[in-house]
Amino acid sequence: MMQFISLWIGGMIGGLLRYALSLWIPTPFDFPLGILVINLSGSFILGAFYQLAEVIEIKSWFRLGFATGVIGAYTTFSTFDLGVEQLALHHLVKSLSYAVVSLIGGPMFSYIGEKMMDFVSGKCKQTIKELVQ
Amino acid sequence: MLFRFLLVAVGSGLGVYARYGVSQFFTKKYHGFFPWGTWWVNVLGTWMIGLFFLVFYQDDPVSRAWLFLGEGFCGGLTTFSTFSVETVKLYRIQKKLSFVYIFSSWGIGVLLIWISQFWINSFIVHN
Repeated sequence: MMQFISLWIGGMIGGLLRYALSLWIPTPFDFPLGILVINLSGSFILGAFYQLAEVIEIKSWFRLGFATGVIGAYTTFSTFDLGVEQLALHHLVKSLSYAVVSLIGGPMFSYIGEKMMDFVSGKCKQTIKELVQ
Repeated sequence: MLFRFLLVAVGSGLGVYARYGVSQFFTKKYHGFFPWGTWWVNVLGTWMIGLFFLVFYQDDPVSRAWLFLGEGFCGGLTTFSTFSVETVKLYRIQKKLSFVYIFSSWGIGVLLIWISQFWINSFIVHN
């Protein structure tokens, strides 16, 4: 029950964040910068979050609500792909660069997020160990 | 304005439930490492948003149906972050398959939108 509530609330928060940011971030020269920023930042956050979940124990309802709910709904594949298709009708080069930057950048940002969290949590563990001793 | 945000939020919450349901289904049925759950929601969600775009958005970019079904439901249903994380995971196991995952997720969606657009436009023109 707790899981369903957190999924629902997380999904609404993520959707609101995406909609608000996509309205707020400009689209210079018809380029969908907003969705690109949203998808890359969401990929980064999710990579970091899963790495954090490896190090510290995160309650399953929070994990579901945040990863599947907030970040899952914050990022979007459908609007991205629709953007690629619409851009391709008039600006083929922009459309292809949008696709490549998103599709290669997304996984890269996830990887960077994971590695950064790995580094930070390693440092923190060391500090905690030193404090205990 | 507030009502628009509410439509997006509620639609997005429903989309997340649908995505969770599909991913649970594939976790139970399929035990390989290819992320079929995310693949299906992304491809079908992209096709759906393409149809909603043609039917609702083109008439009115802030129509209630578009905000609820397109921005809300399809936006919440499909996800880029999980796609990214899964691509990294897949790349570590099988490099080639991770590229198949990337390009099939992207290409099939675009192709389905393009076919639907072509079909709907010619249908409207001829009737």
